[in-house]
Amino acid sequence: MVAPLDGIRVFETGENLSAAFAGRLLRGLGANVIVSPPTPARALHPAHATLRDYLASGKAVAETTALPGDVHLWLDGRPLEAITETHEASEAFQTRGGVHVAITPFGLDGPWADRRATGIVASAMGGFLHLCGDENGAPLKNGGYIIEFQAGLFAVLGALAGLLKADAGNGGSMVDVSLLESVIAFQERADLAWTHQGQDWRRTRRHEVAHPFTIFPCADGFVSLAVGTARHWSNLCLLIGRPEWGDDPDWLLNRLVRADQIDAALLPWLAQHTADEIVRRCQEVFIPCGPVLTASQVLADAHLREREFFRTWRRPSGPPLMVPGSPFRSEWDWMLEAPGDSGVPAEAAS
Amino acid sequence: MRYDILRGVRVVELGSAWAGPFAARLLADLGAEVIKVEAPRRPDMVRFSVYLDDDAGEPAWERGAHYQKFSRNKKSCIIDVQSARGRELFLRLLAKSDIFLENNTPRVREQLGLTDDVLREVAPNLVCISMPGFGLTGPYRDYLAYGLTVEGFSGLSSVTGYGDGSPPTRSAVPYGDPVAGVYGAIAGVVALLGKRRHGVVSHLELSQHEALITMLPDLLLRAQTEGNDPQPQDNRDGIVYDPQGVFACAGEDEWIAISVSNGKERDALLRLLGLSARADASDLDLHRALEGWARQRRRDEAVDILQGAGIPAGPVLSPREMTEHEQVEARQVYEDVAHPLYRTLPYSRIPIRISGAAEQADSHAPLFGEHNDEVFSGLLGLSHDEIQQLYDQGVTADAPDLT
Repeated sequence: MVAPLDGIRVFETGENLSAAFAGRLLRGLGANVIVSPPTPARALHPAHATLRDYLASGKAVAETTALPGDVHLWLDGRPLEAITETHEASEAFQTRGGVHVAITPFGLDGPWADRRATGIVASAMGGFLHLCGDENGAPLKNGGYIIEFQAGLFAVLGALAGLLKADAGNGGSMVDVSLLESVIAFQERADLAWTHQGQDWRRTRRHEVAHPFTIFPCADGFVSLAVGTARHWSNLCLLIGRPEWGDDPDWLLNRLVRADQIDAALLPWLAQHTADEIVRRCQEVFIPCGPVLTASQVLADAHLREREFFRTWRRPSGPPLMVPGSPFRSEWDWMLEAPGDSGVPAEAAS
Repeated sequence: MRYDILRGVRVVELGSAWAGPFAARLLADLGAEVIKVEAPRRPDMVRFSVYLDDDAGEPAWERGAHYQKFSRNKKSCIIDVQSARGRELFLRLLAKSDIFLENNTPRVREQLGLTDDVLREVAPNLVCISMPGFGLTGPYRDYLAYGLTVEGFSGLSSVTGYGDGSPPTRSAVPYGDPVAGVYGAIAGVVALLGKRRHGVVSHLELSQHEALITMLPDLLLRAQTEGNDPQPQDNRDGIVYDPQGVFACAGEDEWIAISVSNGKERDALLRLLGLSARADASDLDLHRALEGWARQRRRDEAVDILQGAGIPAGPVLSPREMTEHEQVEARQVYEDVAHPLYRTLPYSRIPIRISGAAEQADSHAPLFGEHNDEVFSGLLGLSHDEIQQLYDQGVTADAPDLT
């Protein structure tokens, strides 16, 4: 079996999580990824060290920091000043048809180019923190490192587009990806509310246009409800014993205005049922609803287990761990795992 | 601005809402010819979302900003794929295309008769990308997947909150969709590379649920190595970034985000706060000192001082402030796109800048059925009369049937 990026060689430099994530994704698609030797080890939080090891799995470590002569992609997560210092090497690389992908906080130009940011800073400036949290609470970030990793996704897309351009005989490229713009690209409606409606949205626990469309407590935890359409609404009204609301267009169209009244009927019903029951009963009648699973519940999830999603990662030290499999599945065409690191379904290994 | 790297690549999108249309739009931004197919009686629901000027107006289905943003640079062809004639035409269109991308539930995919076997037979060279919410198999396969509910299934909601016992918080956007959207575009480009280099025609499945979990490896790893589940903890991190937080400034509703990623930045922060040696400051002291420091300063002044000292920091911006920020303006992140029915309006560009790549102007999201003739006549060779028959029989339309 062949992997789609077999034969592609990648050099990864820098310490940001975006480049490390992008390199791992490319590795999983079959590319050979060589990492620049790490700078003298600093003491990392154990969870940080484990995350770094996971992102490095399947990659080889180069002997020197110099760009190898035979690579197609240079995945660069170094700070802007370091990228500027190696400008000549980059030019020569691009002249040979190489694709240099730079992932920086704010991009390679503009008044903020030499400033610093991590995921939370990009999230703050991209408008996400302002939109997440309670009306009267502080702006809030998502858990984890999703901002860093989403820039990694765009870096992979840019890298592959650069390869296609080079393959077509149109030369090498500098591909400029920024954390901030990766956040902005994930804006859905809130930037449109400003540009198209003159409304500057702010965080609310409830949804901006629909209700109930948020996370609620239930008997044994929390559930999310995404009641958007008329059908979702009328079916929910049947479940919570208010069928008369479901048939009334006035209720359907004024659910935000009447959110407190709705909650007065909804919350007691949710409090009487477990998350499992609520999700099953809602999904049976086509209401989008889900549990709020913790990480260990995700690892034990029956659906993911049946689909053999998790892989076993044999890390450098310590017992093997379960890690996410490839986001892509293909039954017979592609090998989509990095060989030697996490190619075994977790169930089989345990 | 769109690139022309994928010029000559034809993509057929049978998508709705956000994930599928976003994936296809990224391919359109890279230069692919994307034909968005909708049914006369089932227009994409996001056409009716975030109306221009908050006014449904006439025609309402062209005024939804969500559709405008995520279908720019595409073509629109209306086909009732459930009718025999529509199905025949749709399969002929697929046979003339390079990529088929859809984000329906497996049930809808089967109802439409668009299974792998059928597609392999009618279009052996067609790359197929399926993006169902929970995948094509497994106990949840027919569950409705909205971004918010996928977040809960993925573990993301369980770590997003204030950590004070209040319920977890929904994200700024329903994250499952855009993550799957970028992965979908990556799948398209990877499949093209795989086909050109290795001659493999890929049929790919991309579960939005699993795609989001690949973005959360740290949560899964910590649950296994620490013996208990990661919990919401406000804006703190403590693992990669320490200290990290969002702090209120002197001005009304002004906040800054501060995040320290190494010892050098931490030392600079300690100096700035007048805490001399590293050993002097417990994490709590440092957090309190930062709270006091920020409260005495206006937001932008505080950011300038911190950035001047080499410490990652930025203002918490509203969507309006974001679109007007000097870096966003200098980089022209928002670009104007003209529309035949109303004024020119700005949309954010693809967040990838590829030097030396030829560029072309953006085109507005297509009007409903704007490219019917181009597809039916130009691509499929139908006569004027045959096309008229399609309209008469309701196989196609130039306005949605909302009855």
